[in-house]
Amino acid sequence: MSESTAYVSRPRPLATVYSRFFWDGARRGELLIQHCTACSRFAHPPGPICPSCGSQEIAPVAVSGRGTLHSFCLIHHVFHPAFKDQVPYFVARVELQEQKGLFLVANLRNCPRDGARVGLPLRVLFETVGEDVLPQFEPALSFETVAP
Amino acid sequence: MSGTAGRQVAVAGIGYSGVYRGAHPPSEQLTLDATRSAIADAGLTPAEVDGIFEYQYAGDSPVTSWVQRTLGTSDLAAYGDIGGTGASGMAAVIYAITAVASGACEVALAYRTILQDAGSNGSFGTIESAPPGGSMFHDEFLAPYGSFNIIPTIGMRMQRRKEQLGGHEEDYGYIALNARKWAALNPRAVARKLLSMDEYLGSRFIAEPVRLLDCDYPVNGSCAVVITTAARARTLTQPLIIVDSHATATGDGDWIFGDRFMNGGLERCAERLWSNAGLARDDVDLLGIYDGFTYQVLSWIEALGFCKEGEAGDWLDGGRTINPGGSLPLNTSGGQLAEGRLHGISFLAEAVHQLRGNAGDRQVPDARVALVTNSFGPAVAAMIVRRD
Repeated sequence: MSESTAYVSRPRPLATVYSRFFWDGARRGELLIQHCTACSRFAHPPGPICPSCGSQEIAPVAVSGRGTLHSFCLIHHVFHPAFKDQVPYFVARVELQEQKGLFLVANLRNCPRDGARVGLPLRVLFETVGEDVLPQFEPALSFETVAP
Repeated sequence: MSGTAGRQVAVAGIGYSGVYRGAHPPSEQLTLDATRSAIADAGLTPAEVDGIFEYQYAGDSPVTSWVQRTLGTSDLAAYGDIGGTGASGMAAVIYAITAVASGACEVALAYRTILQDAGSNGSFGTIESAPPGGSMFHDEFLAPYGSFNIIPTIGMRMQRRKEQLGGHEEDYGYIALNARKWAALNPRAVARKLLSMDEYLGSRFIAEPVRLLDCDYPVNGSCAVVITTAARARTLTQPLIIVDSHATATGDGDWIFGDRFMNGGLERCAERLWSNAGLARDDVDLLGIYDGFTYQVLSWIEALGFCKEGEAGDWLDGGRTINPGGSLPLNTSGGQLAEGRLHGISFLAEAVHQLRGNAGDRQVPDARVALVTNSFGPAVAAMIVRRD
């Protein structure tokens, strides 16, 4: 297979009945997280019930898109050919400010290689990739301001 | 007391296939080579096996019914195909132990066959996405971001450990160097060349801070053990190796979104192991600690209580603690970092070699008690075995 002619698309989010709201929300520029009406706890990834209390009274709720960098790594290896031109790129675990222990995984954008550190304040941005929109995160303050 | 409720259980036989890089025998052949040699090693015949358990990932190991038919074993009293979740090969061994201990069967075979060298199925990263209830991973929320299965999650754990607990880059390097020192003494190992710290530090980043030489060595191969009662094992030819205790844990059951991110089930697994054990840390003569990544070894050592959290680097003492001749030899086969990623059972098989006293050039003098662990995060298990 010649790499110059082969076209491999990036893996797309294959939404399920539980998660469709998340990707639909991203298309509208909203970060929606499953929220329990009974116990008021958020949960991610979404599922059929609230994992905190077992209630089925769950609904998507828009969150602020603010959070902190829980951890990250910088991917150098091309695990998938569609990311050949992306390396190196950050994969980050983001703790949303709405709830301790509520995490999302996304790419960290607009952050210099030596600027990422645990605890960095982040905000969501929405990135169009082909037919999809992915919630992503970037430093909440312009980088000069947060640099150590 | 012993942590195996019910009948006392022994590891009666161990067997390996060849361990291959660049050659791709069918998984069926690898499995037959390992299982038949384990049964023969125990001094038993396939007709005496009445339980079979295997762990697989995406169909790499042949299923138990194929092994039963091909070995010519008659009716099985207990069996199980474990996959996806589970503490790699040790999951199959623990099912075999509990089946024998409970009286469900008398002689149980456990195996793990893996095809991971390039040219086989490549890596876990190439496996198709599973539905949300069908996998430990959440590919829908990871793959679109270029985060493929285990390695990025290890990179994130290692980064957080470095920022929160400190330590040095070399702490991880001592694990990589140790693996090669032991592998140099193991003819089966695929990576037997000694490494320098400069070579370790100079190896390319995969998911920074994870370097290439932090990762284990993908191979094609199979490893198997035969479990039976201590009473039955006493009538066989090999030295008696007793299962003192074992434990399994899942923590929060999640590889990447959970709030027990750093260690998953390690602490619970260690607590269970020590509460089940008839032996204490000071009794342990050698360790077989799962080393899919160097990071995992440091975390296991701390979770098992051999030192405090964040102090594994100091405990290693430049590798002297765990190297050949050290006070607590670790991964004496070279582990997955150097013997090859046989994915679990090989740690137990190596412990049995050592406790029998037939580990050749790498024999740990007077080894009586070994502690082995498998896997990481939400799918962990540990076991203590001792020479009777």
